[in-house]
Amino acid sequence: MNIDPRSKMLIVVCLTGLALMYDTPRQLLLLFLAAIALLFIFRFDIRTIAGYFRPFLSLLLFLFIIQTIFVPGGEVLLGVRHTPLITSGGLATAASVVLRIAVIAAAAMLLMTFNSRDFILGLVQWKVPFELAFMVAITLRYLPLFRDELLTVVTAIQLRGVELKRVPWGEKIALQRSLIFPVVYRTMLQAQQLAVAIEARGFRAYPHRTYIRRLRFYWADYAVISLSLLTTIALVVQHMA
Amino acid sequence: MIQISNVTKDYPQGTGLRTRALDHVDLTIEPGEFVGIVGRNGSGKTTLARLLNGLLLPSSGQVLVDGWDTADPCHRQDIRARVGMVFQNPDNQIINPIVEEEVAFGVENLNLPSAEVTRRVDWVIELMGLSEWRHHAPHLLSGGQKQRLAIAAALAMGNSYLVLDEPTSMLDQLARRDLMTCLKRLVREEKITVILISHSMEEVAEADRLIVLHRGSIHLDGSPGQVFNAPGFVQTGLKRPPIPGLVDGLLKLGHQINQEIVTLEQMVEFLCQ
Repeated sequence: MNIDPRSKMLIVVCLTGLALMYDTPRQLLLLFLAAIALLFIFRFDIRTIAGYFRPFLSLLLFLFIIQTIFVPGGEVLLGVRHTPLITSGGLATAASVVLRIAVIAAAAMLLMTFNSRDFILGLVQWKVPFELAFMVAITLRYLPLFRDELLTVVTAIQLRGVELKRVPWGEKIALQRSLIFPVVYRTMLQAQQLAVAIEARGFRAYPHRTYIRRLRFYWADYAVISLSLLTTIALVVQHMA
Repeated sequence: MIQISNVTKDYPQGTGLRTRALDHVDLTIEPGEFVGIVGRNGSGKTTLARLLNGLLLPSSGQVLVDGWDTADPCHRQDIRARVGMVFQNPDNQIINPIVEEEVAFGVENLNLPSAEVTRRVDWVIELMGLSEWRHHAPHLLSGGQKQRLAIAAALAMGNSYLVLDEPTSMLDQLARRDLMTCLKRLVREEKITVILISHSMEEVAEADRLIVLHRGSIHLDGSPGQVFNAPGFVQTGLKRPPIPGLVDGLLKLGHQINQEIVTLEQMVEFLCQ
């Protein structure tokens, strides 16, 4: 079943909107499970999903701990002298924050099922100006390039005899300057060269442009869109009530 | 025709000083020519290339493309539809995730009817031998194929002039030969004017006309045979390709040989006569 990218984008918007609206761990957990179920429907397997979330785990754990300790409320579950450390309210807030991020991240996985060109076409056919849609797509393209440049600079530093794993923490922070500057500079240089190439190909030459390909809705898309919108509206009404 | 009249290009240095990249350059390029431009680093080759389609504007002087002034904003996009550019690193000029759409990007910007966009894309993909890769991702292509894709993307816009700024510097020997064959075919069969900037003397030796830039000025201008044998060529610090050296050696031994022979093919043809 090939779903139009616009239908998938709508699902992402609905899931993200609901994640921002819901504030209890139970609601967000159900939403997260629904997002995972959707990923299975769109043929993601458990290994891919787990691999996608693995880099986030340390961040999520850090956020959970910070939220638990610094947003106290409700019953004190663990305290030091008169200072509450872990509270029921803190745990609930922490769980909500972590689950909200997880829902949004899971929803964003759906954007990986189509390429940047379809992303632009989808936004353009939704009357988003081409320049804006193109800007978003190009930004997304540069995220992996940024990572590749970082790897190149790290390798260059290691080839000069710096063992990054053995560098003391204080020096590691100073070393970040040596890492960040060349990465940002090289990425900006690539972006500049790309900008020249785009301009040489008549970008924004005229107010309008034609497209060799257009996206089309089929019955499955209408079904997905209707279901997404109706479900979201029903859940919003229920939440408001 | 491209006419460059008394063009100077200065770059500001931020401390009130300016670096002169081109110094009172006069140049005319006729339609259908295959022009090679060489020079040492910093001689002004890339600056000259970027002046040709209005990516840069001259500090003084004028650049006319088929009568249109590149400094006139009203005609800048018309000029860019005429003068295509291909850059050194193919990865830095590929915008789209599919070959077909990469070729179509420039044509789509011209607001032509969809049928015309499709026709041009079909023609250019066939011309550049990319039909097999039409629906593939560009990153799956080899370096030479990527440069052919970049050329295709420029040609689809209906360019009658193609400026290539060191397009072979990141390619292996086979890909270089392949690209040069492609460029010669474009000149011969499609009547595209090709302006090739290169550090490779063997490549520019295949051009009809060779221009040597030295410190921002045109130092030599003529056929490759004339330029490589000119007394002023040594002063530029550039090295001749091996064939003119062989020709000199044969002449010293008393053989009757045309000094215009600069490529291996020309030498083979002469020896087989």
